[in-house]
Amino acid sequence: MKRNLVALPAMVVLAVLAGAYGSFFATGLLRQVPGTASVAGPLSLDNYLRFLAGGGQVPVFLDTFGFAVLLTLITALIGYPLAYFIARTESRFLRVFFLAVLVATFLSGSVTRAYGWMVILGNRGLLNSLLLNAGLIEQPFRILYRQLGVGIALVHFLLPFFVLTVVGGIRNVPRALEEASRDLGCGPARTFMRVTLPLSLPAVAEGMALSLALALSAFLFPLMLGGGRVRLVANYIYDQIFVAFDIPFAAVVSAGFLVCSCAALLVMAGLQRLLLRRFATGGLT
Amino acid sequence: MIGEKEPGGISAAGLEVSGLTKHYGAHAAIQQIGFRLERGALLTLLGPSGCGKTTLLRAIGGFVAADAGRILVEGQDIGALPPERRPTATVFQGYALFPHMSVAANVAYGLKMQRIPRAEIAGRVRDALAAVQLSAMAERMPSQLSGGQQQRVALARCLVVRPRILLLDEPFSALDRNLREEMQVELRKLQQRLGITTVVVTHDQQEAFILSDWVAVMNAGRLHQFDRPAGVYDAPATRFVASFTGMTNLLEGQAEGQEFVVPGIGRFPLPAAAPPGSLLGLRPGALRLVEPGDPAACAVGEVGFVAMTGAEALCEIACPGGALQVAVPRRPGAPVTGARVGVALAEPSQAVVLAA
Amino acid sequence: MRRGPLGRALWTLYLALVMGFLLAPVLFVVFYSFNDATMFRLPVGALSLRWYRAFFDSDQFQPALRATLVIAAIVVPATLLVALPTAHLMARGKGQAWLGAALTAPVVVPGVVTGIAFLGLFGMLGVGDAMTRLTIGLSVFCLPFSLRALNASYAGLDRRPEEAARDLGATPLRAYWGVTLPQLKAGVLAGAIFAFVEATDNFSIAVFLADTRTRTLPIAAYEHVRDFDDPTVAAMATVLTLVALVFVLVLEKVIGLEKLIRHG
Repeated sequence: MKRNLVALPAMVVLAVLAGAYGSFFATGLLRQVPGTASVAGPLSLDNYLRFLAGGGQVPVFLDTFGFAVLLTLITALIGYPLAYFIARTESRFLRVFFLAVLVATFLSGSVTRAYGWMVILGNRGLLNSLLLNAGLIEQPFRILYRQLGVGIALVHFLLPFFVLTVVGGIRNVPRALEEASRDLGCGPARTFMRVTLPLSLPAVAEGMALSLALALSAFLFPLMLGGGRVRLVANYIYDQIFVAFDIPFAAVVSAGFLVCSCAALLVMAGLQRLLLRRFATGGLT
Repeated sequence: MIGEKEPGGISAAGLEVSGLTKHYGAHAAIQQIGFRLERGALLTLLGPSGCGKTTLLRAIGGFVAADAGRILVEGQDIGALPPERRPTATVFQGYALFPHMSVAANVAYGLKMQRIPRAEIAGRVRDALAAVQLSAMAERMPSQLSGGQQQRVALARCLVVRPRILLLDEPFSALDRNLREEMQVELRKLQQRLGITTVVVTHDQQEAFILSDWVAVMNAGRLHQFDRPAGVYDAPATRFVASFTGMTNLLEGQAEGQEFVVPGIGRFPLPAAAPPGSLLGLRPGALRLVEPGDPAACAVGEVGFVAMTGAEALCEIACPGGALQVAVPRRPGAPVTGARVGVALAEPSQAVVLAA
Repeated sequence: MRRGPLGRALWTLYLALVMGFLLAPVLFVVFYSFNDATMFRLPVGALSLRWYRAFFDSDQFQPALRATLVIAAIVVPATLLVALPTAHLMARGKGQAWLGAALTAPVVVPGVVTGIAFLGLFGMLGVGDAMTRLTIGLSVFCLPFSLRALNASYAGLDRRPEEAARDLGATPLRAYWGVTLPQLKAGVLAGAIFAFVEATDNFSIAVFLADTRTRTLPIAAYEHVRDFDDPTVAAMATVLTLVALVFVLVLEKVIGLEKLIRHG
């Protein structure tokens, strides 16, 4: 009875969520009333059939997943050494400084950062102005409005999430294990490869899963930095609503997207569980 | 004599537990625990980690709901009460002081919960802190105190609410050896002065013997022996109690008349009848070394390992059928490794016959 | 870490590059916001506060700023009011892992999908008011972020003081209020900050729930950037960065950034 009272708020939120995701599968069964913002019956599977039959979305889906995986890998490669440094540096000042930069970046908001990259990477932006002034290039080098620009900004967006997740994982690797390895005659590089890295892999998998989820759902960055020319699923869906005014079909594409993202994340979660079983540091969480 | 007569003629113990059982899934944490403890007595629950002693303490405190059994405090069944309504107070392992409150606020907490007038709270807190010699620390935060001081705060916090049962969970395990011994004596004196029925959990037999009126030895969820400290030491009820309290020579053999014959080791005089399958238990201190040809020698062997333990040396005597451990006073001419010696009983009554 | 001179140089270079990469957009935006010219051009011209005036006087940004603050003022306490009992349930109950997983869905599910889901739900329920839609939608979206901070706090929490309080006669509610909650202060603060940041920064869900009259700052900023090319948004971004910096200082002062990571 008292427990139910404690659970009540969560249950209300769950009901809203269930209602939202449920209604959205139902929306796909309806049809847009032309020229209005409302949808109406009769119920039919037409939109779902159109989605499954039409091959138009396949390249967009493949592009999105390929791009997200690539960004996740780049983020992990750039981020891991930083996480290692933060976790293991003996200088408290440096540790807090780097953490502060990461947390500030994380808290400063995505609009700020997307806009920052726009003005840096634009044809008349900081980077091109510097290169032109230095005489290194004749023509502005186009970075913005293509995958390169979106990718740079997204890696910047993902980096704090990845690093902050992995720092915790590395700090949880007991120092004593590294010392034991050194004591038994293993050099610093080999100690890292054979002790620290394997034991931090579960956290790396967690960080990569988070990065993948965020990269897949990236929307504002491709919208602002892609200028309509970088087509990812999220933006494709947005266009269905705000350009084609077809909410039911957008809901169907979203449903497909949801299924694919969940599948990708389940794979990551499985990998993480596998790593955790293999490399658990024994209750030192 | 356990328990005492109530004016109404009803005998009510300070604490009475019967048939107490708690399962976690298929694992039985405690099984059929029962005992009666008279008012004002101190009982220690002694056993290795995982034996169920902490579960039993938490069941008395109300933090574990038992599957079966009854808990009576001075005749009142408290089994159904939540912790806040039980007349118990616990000194938790690690003390569990409220980290965000001063020492005085920690001690006052229980009185505030009872809605005692503020003026009375102040006086009682002062008295409680004085009783544990911490009057000067009232405004400190717990993190500014040493381990021993924190423990006294935890004790004061319990005593101030005048519980009818005081529970302590491994109260001395976090302290250095010297401080531990000092605090043990201090707790015992305070407890005797206040006459409060007390239950202490410990895995240290020494601590149990120093503190207790009664000792309950537990293993694997079962109560093996409930006895006076001397009873536990001199007459262990089971093989487990014997070995847990340091009876390292547990010999298998057969009774032949008044003697117990241990194959490959020797023959020992029996203090009591030994049915088939019995063990003969001998503490290292119950044995002494003699010349190999001494008529009192029960066994003959060669001195192996010798370890200094303080006033005594612990010798391992290798016999053909196994080794005996013998504690001997350290003095010139003590046995050296490799010497051939005889082993005799120092005091025949110290041999114990144990059912297997 | 002991390293040779080469290793040291490589580490320094790497750290400098990563720091440059992390700080570049924010630093440049701050600098750009004080630039008097409409367009960026080298060498840099005069400095001015022109774009800050433009931001605070704007017919576009003023209502958006007000709406965002009102939404945050409702969303943050609402989120905490749900997160506190839920985190307690997850920490103390048995088999509540699914609850956390279910509530975390909006983080894992692409924002656009969640946005459309809410759009569909509110369409069916006939919720026409954009403010109501945004407040409910963002509260649900922010919950997992607060919950994560509180769960971390619970993970580091010693449970025995709460038991001691019960033992000394406190009812469960009083023990929670007087002993457990004060120990969760850091988690509550971090949870509030995360909820605030997510509520004010969210674009992908909010864009589906807003309408032409009620918009949040990120939407106003996006539309401004789409239609104009001047540093007004840089001024806004600088203000937001300043707020973020204050949050970092508060977190370091009250919790300590290192602790935040250990349980995060």
